[in-house]
Amino acid sequence: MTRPRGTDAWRVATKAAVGTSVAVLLALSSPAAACTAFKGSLTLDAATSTLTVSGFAGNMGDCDPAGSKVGYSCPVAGLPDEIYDVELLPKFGSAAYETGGLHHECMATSPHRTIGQVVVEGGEGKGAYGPPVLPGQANIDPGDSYALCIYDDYYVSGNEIRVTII
Amino acid sequence: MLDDHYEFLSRVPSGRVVFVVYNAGHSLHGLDLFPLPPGVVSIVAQLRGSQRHIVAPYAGTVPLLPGQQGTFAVDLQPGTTYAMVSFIRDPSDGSSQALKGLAAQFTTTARRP
Repeated sequence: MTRPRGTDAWRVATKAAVGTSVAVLLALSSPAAACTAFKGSLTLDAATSTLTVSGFAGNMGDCDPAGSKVGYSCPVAGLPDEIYDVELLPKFGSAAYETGGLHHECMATSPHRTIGQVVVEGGEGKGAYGPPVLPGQANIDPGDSYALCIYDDYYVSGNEIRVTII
Repeated sequence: MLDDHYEFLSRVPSGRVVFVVYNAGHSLHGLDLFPLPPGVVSIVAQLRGSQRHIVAPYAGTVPLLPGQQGTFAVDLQPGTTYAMVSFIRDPSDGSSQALKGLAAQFTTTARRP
């Protein structure tokens, strides 16, 4: 299932959901061979216990595993175009990853599991990404782990970036 | 793995190392392996301290029931300190097993030619 590409209604709904709910994303689906070849990083500011997402690059869309362009939205390199949300998933365990993969974890994400979001600003993709600031920053405990979910205008995808707090 | 500590070889070589992890305790335990970040001397002190660090998951086991065994292989760098930690929480009191002894570290030795 796909969403209408580039509809203003979707963008408005997505932006309105920031910091409140991402329930709208629950209805999404994605292709079996979605590109998840992202690069990027999660960093922790030890002074403020703030996790920041940065350095995105990679493919997004209905690419084949080799990354060739077979679909509509699949930039070869650089920032994925038209990203609407980037979410941090807390308490991401290896067991969940092994049973369904991060891609499926992202599809199954629900508002109560989402702790941070980033929304593209400035219109049609490749905008500025603000760092997601975790609510309850003081509660980052050893053993907490986080992963990324990325949503573009068609699909929801998972990023292989994961971190653990010690 | 026992309930309150890891038992492992005193000397861990660098290079490809296969970890065979056996839960000899009475509770669910796990093992996450990662290199200690710069500036962190002791994993035990780090876990009990107040300033958090971020590490990339390197390798580990899924949670193992008593009597279960898990295996993974990693390529360890020479002269590097790695930590082994179980972040599983005790269901009885919610405390982390990492603070109950299941946190240890080792520094790799050079592999003999």
